[in-house]
Amino acid sequence: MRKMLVANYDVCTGCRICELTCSFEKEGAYNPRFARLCVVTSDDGLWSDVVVCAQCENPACLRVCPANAIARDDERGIVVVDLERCTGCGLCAQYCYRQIIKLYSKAEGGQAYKCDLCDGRVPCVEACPTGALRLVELEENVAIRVP
Amino acid sequence: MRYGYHERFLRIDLTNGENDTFPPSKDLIENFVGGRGWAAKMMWDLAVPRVDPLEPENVFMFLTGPLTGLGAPCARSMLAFKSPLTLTYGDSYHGGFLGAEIKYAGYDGIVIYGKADAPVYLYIEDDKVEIRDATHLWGLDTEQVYHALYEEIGGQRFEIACIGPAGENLVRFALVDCSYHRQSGRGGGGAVMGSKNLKAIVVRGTHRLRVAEPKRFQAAVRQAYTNLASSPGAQDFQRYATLSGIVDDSEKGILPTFNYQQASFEHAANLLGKVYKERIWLRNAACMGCSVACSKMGAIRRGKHRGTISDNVEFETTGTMGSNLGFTRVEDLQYANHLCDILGLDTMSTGVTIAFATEAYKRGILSREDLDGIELDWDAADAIHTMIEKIARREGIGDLLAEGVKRVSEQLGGQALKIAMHSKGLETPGYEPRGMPGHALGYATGDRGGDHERSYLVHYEARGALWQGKPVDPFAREGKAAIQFHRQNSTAGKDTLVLCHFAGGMSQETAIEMLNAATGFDLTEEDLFIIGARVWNITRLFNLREGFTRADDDLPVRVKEEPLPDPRVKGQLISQKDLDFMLDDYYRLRGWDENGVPTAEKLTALGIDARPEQS
Repeated sequence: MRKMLVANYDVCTGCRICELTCSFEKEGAYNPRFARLCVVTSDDGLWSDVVVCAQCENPACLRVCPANAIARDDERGIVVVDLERCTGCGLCAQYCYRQIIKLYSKAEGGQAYKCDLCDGRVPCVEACPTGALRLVELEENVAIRVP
Repeated sequence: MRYGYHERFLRIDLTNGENDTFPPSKDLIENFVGGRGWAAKMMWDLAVPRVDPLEPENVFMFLTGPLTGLGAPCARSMLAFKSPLTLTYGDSYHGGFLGAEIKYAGYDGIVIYGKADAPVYLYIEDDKVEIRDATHLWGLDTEQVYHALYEEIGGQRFEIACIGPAGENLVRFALVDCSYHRQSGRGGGGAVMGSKNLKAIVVRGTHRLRVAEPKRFQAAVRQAYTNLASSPGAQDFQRYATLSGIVDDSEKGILPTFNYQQASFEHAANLLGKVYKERIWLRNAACMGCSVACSKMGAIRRGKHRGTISDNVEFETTGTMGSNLGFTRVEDLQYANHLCDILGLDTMSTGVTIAFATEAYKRGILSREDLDGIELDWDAADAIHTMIEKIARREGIGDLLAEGVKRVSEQLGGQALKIAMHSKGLETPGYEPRGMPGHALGYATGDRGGDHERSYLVHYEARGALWQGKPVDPFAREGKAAIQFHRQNSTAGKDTLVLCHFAGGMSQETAIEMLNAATGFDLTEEDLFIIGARVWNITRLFNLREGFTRADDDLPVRVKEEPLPDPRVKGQLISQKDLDFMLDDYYRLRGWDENGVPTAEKLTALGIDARPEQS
């Protein structure tokens, strides 16, 4: 099983409520910079979209991690970072397909952090005023397994 | 440190390139809260009395409120400065994302003094504050500045405020663009930035904003979103921005048309939101944390300006530059609006100024030669678009019109004075006031001049809303000062949180709950009302210090002398006698003497130490 957030850019207004909600949920404080998803708006303002962690079938972050700190949690359907093991090397963030893994500052420990779907509660989805975010569950073997 | 604040302002002197920080006083936080409260008190404390607003000594501020940057919906930020247009206290508000980023950078506000030797922009990233060369940006329009800085700085998200050519050229109603397509339009803040050789500020930050009571705050925020989701007004903004009421306003005789010669417009239906929805708008766009998303991004698809991408024309622009210039095609108005945005002009003052010039030309006050051969006329889109460019660049006639209708009409004299639509030099907004005496009183008493955000009684005087449970007699003079006094104070109170006026669906109770949960305050609606009164008294003291008197609490001559022709409001005007009656009433309610000077008794009661310093 794999779960993931899906963004419908056609109804996203770029309000960043998802980011604010995520930042508060995860950091106990507001700054969208620390959100585990990222609203992007085109330079001309004609569209907004939410870059989300897809809890990838073929996670580059997992493949590049030299400390084996990133693993797939099949039960929860997500890709997780083990903060104990993470050395803060930054390779996962560098190679993430959507650049949605972030690193704490050196002063804060330097580890990587990413979306873990909040145990399925997904407050970001709940807070989105337009339904631009959804949580979907993919059935087993929907995607061709990457060898 | 108190939650909701950094208790830290960034101070920059562009003359010597130095910067430091300073904390707000306890008085500033507790008695003035933030935003407009700070603007009032800090302008009183920091401004050099009688300074020329375009001299380096004029202080220029970006200010936030305690809710800015938190999850609270509709929390905005603002500018404060002495206005080069009105010479009064000046402030102007903006949505978008800029204020939040100032908070994330670790500041409650940015206080700018001085003047750089050459064009510069400010780069602020947390504690890193740099004054960078901006000669390559000088001359660019606001869109070009955004794109140039996106490219130059790159990387992660940052926010920008900038001026266009109009600000550089010290047009007295130049705006400051604050985040892409959001503007602080009124009062000429852009000219103040231009006078400092300050083309832009760029800001980003990594501070995490915490609140005093997280659970309570979250609950209040959820309540606010519930309020907004169930508000018919907010739903209307979602569908049609601020443009669903144009025809109704026209029928009510409150829609300025042809430089306020009439108050209803034959083609009002052409300018409705639903027309834009068919022809221009593509999507709803929101400011930080807003569930309403009243802004509409779109593209002109027909005519010579097809391909122009911009956000929506607002109601106020429609009332001052749409019907007021007789536009019958949304594409033409959209393009005029877009030109103002990118060149950096307040659409409202620009619309009223060009409407003035058009009427003056038709009446022979200005000749074709005076207008550099431009055939100004109602709905003459090309001529109007050209005039906007000329104003922004101060070319030919544009150099005169860039001074605003007060100065232009004073220079022309005679008949011109009778058709100049302004109070204290601020071009009047998109509501014809003659059929709304209480609303008109708001123009007359506005501390930044004749303005919609300081006067708004439209619901009570034209749309049948009840005031304190009772119907309001639209044309009565009696009792209107009381409504205006109450509305002014409660709006100013809310402006200290810098909440968007379009978040009307959010109850006052919810707003105060968010404030208290965020900051640990224990304020009530009554407290906020008193804070609002404090704001009005301090800005009054400011304007008195600048030399303003009762005589400046005035209305345009047209409003006082020319009866309206339109059906519902036929024959209505606000005579000097009417105005005097309402002013007396208003001053009495405010605790000001008959000259409009706050009494020591009133100031003491409000906990204000400052006293009138008439010069």
